[in-house]
Amino acid sequence: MQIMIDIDSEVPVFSQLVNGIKGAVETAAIAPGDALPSIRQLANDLDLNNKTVAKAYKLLERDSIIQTKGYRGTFVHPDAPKNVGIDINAWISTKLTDVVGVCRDRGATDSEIRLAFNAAMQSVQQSGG
Amino acid sequence: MPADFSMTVILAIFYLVFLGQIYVISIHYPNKMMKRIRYVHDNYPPIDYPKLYPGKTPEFASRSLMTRLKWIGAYCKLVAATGVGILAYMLGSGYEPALEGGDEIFVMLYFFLQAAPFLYLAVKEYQQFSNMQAGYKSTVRSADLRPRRLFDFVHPSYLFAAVAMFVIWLGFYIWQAGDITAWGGETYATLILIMGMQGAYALIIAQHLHGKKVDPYQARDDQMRTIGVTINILVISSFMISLFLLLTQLADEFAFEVFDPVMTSFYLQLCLILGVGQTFRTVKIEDVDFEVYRADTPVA
Repeated sequence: MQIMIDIDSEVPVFSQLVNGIKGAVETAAIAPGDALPSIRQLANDLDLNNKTVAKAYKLLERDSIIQTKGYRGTFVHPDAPKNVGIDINAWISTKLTDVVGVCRDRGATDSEIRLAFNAAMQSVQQSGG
Repeated sequence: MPADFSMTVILAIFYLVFLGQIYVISIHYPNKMMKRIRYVHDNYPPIDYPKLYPGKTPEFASRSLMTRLKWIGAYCKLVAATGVGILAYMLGSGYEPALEGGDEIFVMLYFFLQAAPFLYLAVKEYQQFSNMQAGYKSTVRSADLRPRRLFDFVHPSYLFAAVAMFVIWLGFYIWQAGDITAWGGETYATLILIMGMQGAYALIIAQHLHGKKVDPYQARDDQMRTIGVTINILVISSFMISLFLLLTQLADEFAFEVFDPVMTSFYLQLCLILGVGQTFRTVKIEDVDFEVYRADTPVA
């Protein structure tokens, strides 16, 4: 299975990598448990910076599409086919829209909502979340 | 010298092995190599496959390649003739190898003369790949979504044999250094040199496994084949170096130093057979995908 990127595309390279790997899972070109190339190998093969591939892998790991098993390497997550359809950005947008709607129904102003949102973010950050 | 071997037998073996060295390194492999280069040039000419000859106009690429081949051919013939001349002189002058060893240095010096065209072509190949990298313009890139692992390319038993042979040599060397000769600067220098060489082999293997493609246009299957051949050659070379060092030390131990020139000559031929020869046997020109070097091919 080959992954292709276009460095002249308007889509950021790390997003192309994320989409490429998700696409490979969706089409069953790679299956749960399959080993993936190391960050260094993929970066060298695509002539990219290691950090770009690391960023893509981090996002894929967050979405449970891949999992890193220490020195053994990176593998396709057992739940990857199920998780590949989940769009974390769409999910965040839906959740926040619901919360903003509830706050507005209670009479909160936009600036109160923004201040509360910032305070919540800070609070989570301070508690190490 | 052991009593069982007369000097005539030792000399006969040496002359035969040295003749083999002249033939293998200055005639057989240079001819094969030049035939291969000519085949590629004639079947995949610069006019149709410009990416294979980067940084040159098609006419200049053809002309410089043919001139280079002509000079290499002439040089190899001259070195082979020199080798035969040396042998004739030895025969005529009643040469006898030194019983305490040391004559292998002449075999080595002659080998360096023989190996010059191979080194020259390796440097030229490196320049060619550098020019390819510099001229590589494709914005669309592809990569395999599978990891490249060492044992996908080399059989574990080969690697185990190379490591085991190195450990055996190291153990014997340390034992011999402590038991027969005193530890000194030369002992440490040899240890550092050999361990450094083996370390360099390991680094080159890692670079081939995970590093950048030297030829940016190379097709995937060809890349895999090249990696496999390189790794196997390095593992075999590692084994051969340890074995050779062990044998020369055993020769010292059992007073067989008179065979050092024979062993050195044989070893050098074997290195060529297992290195260059293995590459020719495994990477067959007919199997290489040259279409990637055409002017209008977008991505490897």
